Amino acid sequence: MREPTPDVNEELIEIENLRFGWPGAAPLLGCDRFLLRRGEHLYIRGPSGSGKSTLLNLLAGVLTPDSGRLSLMQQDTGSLAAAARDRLRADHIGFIFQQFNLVPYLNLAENVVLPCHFSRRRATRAAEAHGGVTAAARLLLQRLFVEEELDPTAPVSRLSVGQQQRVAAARALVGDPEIVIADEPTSALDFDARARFIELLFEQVQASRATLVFVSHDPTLAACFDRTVDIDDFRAETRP
Amino acid sequence: MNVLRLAWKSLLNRRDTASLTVLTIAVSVALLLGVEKVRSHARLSFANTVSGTDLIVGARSGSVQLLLYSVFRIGNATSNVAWSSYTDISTWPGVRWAIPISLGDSHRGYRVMGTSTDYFEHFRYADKRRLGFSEGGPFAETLDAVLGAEVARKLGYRLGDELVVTHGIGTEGFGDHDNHPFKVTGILAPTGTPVDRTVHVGLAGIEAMHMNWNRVETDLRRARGQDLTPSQITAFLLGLDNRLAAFKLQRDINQYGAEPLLAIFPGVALQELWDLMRVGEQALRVVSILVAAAALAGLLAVSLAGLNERRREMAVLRSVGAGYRHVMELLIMESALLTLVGIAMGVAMQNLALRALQPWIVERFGLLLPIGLPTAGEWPLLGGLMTAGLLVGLVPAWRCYRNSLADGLSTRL
Repeated sequence: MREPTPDVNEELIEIENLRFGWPGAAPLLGCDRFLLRRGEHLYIRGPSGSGKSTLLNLLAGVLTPDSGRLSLMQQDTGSLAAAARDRLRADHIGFIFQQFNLVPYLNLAENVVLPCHFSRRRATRAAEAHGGVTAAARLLLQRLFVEEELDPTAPVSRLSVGQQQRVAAARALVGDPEIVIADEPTSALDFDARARFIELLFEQVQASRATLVFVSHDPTLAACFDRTVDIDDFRAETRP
Repeated sequence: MNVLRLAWKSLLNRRDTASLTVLTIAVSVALLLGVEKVRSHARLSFANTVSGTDLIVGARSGSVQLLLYSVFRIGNATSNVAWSSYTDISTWPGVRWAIPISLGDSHRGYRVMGTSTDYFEHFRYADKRRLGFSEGGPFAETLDAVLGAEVARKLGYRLGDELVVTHGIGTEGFGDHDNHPFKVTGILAPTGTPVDRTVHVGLAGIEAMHMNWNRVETDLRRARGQDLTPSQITAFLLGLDNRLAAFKLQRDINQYGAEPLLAIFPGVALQELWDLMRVGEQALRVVSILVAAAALAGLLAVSLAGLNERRREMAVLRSVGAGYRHVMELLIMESALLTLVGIAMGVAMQNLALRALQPWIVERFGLLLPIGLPTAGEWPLLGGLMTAGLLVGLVPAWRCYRNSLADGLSTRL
């Protein structure tokens, strides 16, 4: 696998003439051209059920286009085997879900370091920057829980949803992946928690110079981002 | 943390269902090993009952029947062998030794066997082991008796004690020969064979008893040269100079002119007898294998039932970079761990149970089942179970793979 060299204008995700549809259904997604550059903070607006999950699965290399090209870190996902795409995702993408982010049988720190077990690259980076994956995890947890004392070895079952989301953010950021994809990470949070979470997420994304892809149907958040696209721009019906 | 540790932690998280699954597997393993142990040792102790005897000769009946009454002291002979036939055949060329056996009496539930002192000299059991005395020695006087280890232990007899022999084989016979008690002159060391449950007396003693003589009378009559040679015996054992001659000798005895006789090879008859019991042996084995299968079905049910509520967990694992391979490995590993822990616990349970029951098993069945790690014969069984556990793990792994394909990275299920 080719290791891409970091570059400010580097294209992390590139889409050309993409078409995707579930078998037996009309084409769902279509996109002629889309670029995601390093350092961008992209907001994708779209309600649930608009093909958002499918788009994220394509961006993460879990699904591949029916036709056209989707390159992730300059590699055409359509031409890679499933295992290679899994490695690509492990190495370069951090994921935050709407909720249920944490593995119930792992403690806080173990949840955070989880990506480092599937990606040697992220493990190495965490170790180089902080002296070890656990140290990296503890640092991220400290930064995301500035006003709270948190035991990294505590089970995750007693955390509030807001706390769980912050642990998930720490996990998405550990080992400095190039891309952080957040799929409605705030929709399960109340207003105060939402604002606090966005603030902390931006701080840490900036600190690790990651590229953020944020999907939400909450238009009030759009203002925080330097680029906004609509999910409709990726939909097949709008581009006949 | 590799997938193995992940699997371990995931199981610890679901320790209630996991421990129940382990327990069912452990019980089935304990049962499987227990049955296997009893089976192999019953067979061994069975084969150990007689050794070094080349031919057993009795009145013409069936070979299994002859073996049963002559060696196992089970059942009765339908007819006897004339003393003259015994003395004749025992002088045939090639015959190294001959041991007469006379059965038909009992003492408090234990069979009394009339024989000669040659019995203690030539009879072999297990791996050609000869009978040993824990106390005393062979009978010398007409009304002396040598007790098997169990008879002495159960009935509490010591050297010099007197015992009364009953005609017939029940606890209460048709009439006690109570005025002519036998005196214990020897107690045999335990053998784990029917010898332990036998009262040995001289052939002359049997005769004296049936003639209602008491000890003093017997000595007097003997002194007067009165004959106590029996007219017939039940069977006799033969040892030959050359085992290859056994076939010819067997044919000759089977065609003996004076009376119809039957000579059998103990090994062949033991095999025939064991084949009769094989149905039961196999049934026992099948039942324990079915119990193991039921335990594995339980494992499968628990794994499959858990899958639906674990779809989110799988999506999270996929999102942090786990491939389908990792997800499948996780589930196979979980089944493997449950099976492995179950097997280890089963071995421990079986040993604990054996430790508690061993005195009773020895007392009741004369089987000394070994405690400890599984034997060479048991490892394949455990290996088979482990393999089955791994194969069972493939089912949820495959189902989980299908789920992962459909779910992708979605935790909203």
